[in-house]
Amino acid sequence: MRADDVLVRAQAGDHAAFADIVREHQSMVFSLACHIVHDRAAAEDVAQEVFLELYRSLARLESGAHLTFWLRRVTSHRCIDRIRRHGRRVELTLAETHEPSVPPCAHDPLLEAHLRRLVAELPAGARAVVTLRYQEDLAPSEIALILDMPVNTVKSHMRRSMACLRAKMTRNGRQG
Amino acid sequence: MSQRRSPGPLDVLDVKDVDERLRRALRRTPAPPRLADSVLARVLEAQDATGHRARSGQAVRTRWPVWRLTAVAASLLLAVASGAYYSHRRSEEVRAAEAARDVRIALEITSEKLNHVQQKVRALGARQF
Repeated sequence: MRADDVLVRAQAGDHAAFADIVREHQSMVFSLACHIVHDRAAAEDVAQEVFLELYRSLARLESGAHLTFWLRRVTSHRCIDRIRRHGRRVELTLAETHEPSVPPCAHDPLLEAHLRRLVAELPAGARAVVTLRYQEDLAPSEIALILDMPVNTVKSHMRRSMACLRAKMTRNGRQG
Repeated sequence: MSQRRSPGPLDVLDVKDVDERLRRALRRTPAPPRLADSVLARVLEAQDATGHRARSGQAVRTRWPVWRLTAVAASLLLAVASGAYYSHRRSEEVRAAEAARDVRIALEITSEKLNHVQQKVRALGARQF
């Protein structure tokens, strides 16, 4: 309800309300971009462009929920476009893999960074699917709406990505 | 002696943990502190640029409204067309006057020749009778 009020005020030209919207959603937008493009500077550029586009599109938004959906959708598509345009694909070299000699604990920053790099090796569309699934905890049907994909394509991206990630994890674990 | 490698981090990771590990790895991270300020600055900048463009456009429209430009263009066109028509008409009048003069001269020459022939015929007739 509060999100709807803030949106209405922003639509009426209230800059402070728009600033509230940016502050409330910046972490979501920046993280999505960061995990998909795997580059903090590029992610910041994408986030700025998304919020500028949001400002221009405020009049078309109907509710707080619509706003969140719109931000996820535009951010994902911008990131996918950027990856395809720049052909940016992270290649993980053996030297970059982390091999601590102790079993991973519940919160292991090195392992998490390693997983993020493995996700960044996936093709653009699959990367967006995995990020929306695990960062935003969305169901395949919601991801399908955001990415304009059939639900079965989302599920197949998920299956293939998980198989690929598990294979790489096992291979990396057994190499050396 | 073959060296046995110590287990990697993922050898010991249960596949069931992968979901949870991914959830942790891909959790939301704080945005850079300057992000919101940068966005707002760009919004204001874009607004200023739009306003400036609108004002400039308005100024141009105030100085040179479309109807005025059209009137000036029509006047120029009319002046050029009138000049061309007048010039054409003058040259036609001159050519007509020259033609009339030529016809008059030709008629005078013909008349003189006829008079001359008539005098000769009369002279010849008088000699015979």
